[in-house]
Amino acid sequence: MRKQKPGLMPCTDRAGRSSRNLLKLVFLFSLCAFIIVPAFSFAQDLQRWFSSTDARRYAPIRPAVEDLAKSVSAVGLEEKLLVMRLEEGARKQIQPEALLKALQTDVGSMLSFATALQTRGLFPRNSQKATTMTQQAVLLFRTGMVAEELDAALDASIKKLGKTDPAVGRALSALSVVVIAKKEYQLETIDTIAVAEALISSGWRNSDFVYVLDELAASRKSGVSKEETVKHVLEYVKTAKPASGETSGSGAGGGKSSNPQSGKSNGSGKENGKGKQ
Amino acid sequence: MMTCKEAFSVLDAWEQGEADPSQLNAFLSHCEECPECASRFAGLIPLLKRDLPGSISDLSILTSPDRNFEDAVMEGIDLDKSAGRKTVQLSRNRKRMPAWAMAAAAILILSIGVGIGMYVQQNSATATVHFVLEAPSAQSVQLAGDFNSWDASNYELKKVSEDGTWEITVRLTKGQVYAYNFVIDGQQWVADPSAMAQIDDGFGGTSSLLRL
Repeated sequence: MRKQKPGLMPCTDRAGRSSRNLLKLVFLFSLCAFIIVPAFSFAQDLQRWFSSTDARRYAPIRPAVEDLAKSVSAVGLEEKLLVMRLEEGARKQIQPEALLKALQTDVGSMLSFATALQTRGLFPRNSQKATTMTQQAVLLFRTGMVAEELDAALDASIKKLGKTDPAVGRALSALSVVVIAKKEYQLETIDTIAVAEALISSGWRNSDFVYVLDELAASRKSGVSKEETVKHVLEYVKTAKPASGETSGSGAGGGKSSNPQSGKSNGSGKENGKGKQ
Repeated sequence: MMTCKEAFSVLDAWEQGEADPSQLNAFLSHCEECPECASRFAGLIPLLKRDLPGSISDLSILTSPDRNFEDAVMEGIDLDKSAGRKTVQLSRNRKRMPAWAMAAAAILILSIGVGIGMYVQQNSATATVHFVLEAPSAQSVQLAGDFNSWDASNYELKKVSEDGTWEITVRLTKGQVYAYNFVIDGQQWVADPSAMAQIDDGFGGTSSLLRL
């Protein structure tokens, strides 16, 4: 019987071994990509931004921004939140000191929101979800939301949905409508809280909350007082069944839908009047 | 022929999933004859065509296959029968895949599955948003917001009328609040005058809010 010399393997075995090696490589690569890459990319956001050409003029504020990033990361939020604001400031060619000041204000809002969630056991486990929610909350704070409104909305949402991520989403959806209403119609905080609580505890879908703005506009247009308007809206939320369960998607930014049943989403919808510059 | 206003209502109905094929065909015919609508809805036309009966996503075309096609398939199956034994033999000789290769395949499939899932979820949760601005003296108008990292370079509005009306249609994820600005002539950052709410951008300027 012919003996096989060590190191000289039949062609088929050699091909099999090389294909197995290739598969092993694919396996290792997939494992790395699956586990390491996402973690690496989140951690590098700020560093990468400061290395970009747009960021050169902001080098003097880098240490202060990194300190802010540490405080944001410490509560479980991604530093991407700061990068988004840095991008906005850089595109608008804002002076570094002014950009830092705006970031400090935003970080204050981020920490307030995170604390409000953490004290209620609502902080999402998924950091990306937490970051998206916080981004929304920061915008609402800039629109005029106050801590009392946030607290009341979160508590009402917990009553409705328990300590879950959708509870936070529902609270933010209601708040996004009431803070816009407050700004537009100069409502009192006590009224915005009442409307937010009514919306959250209602059977309405989150996407239908925006119809309240149409109702407010119609009510104010008819000339009734602010107090009457709020009463009317509260009654409307309790009794009306908005749309047909369709998502409205009506934009607060010029995207006010002329027909609440339509579900059409517009920015500055042409049929709803266009912005003049 | 359908008017532009009627075309808008068909688009509304389509977004709700309520447009019937005759409406979609009428809309497409309108776009063939109206250059303004064709340009405005260029991005949506392929999606509308996709929803028409007879498109690849429409399974009704499979319900009554052509007789010749059926015969051809059956003929092919008959031919395969003669090679059936050999096929079975080959499958018996095939080696089992090692555990690590199966794990690699599982990770790859999982990654692809998650990717497709996210894509589908994102697409079902998006809204078409139409931004309009009247800026008669502008040479260019762009759109920048937190949805495009404030990078206006790929969001040029099109001038759609001589009186200086500029428009752009974008798709955005629903259930969020967005801040945005128009950028006139690449320099002037302005809020959308028809937005329902304006906010202080924190830098001494104003941004507009969009709630979807």
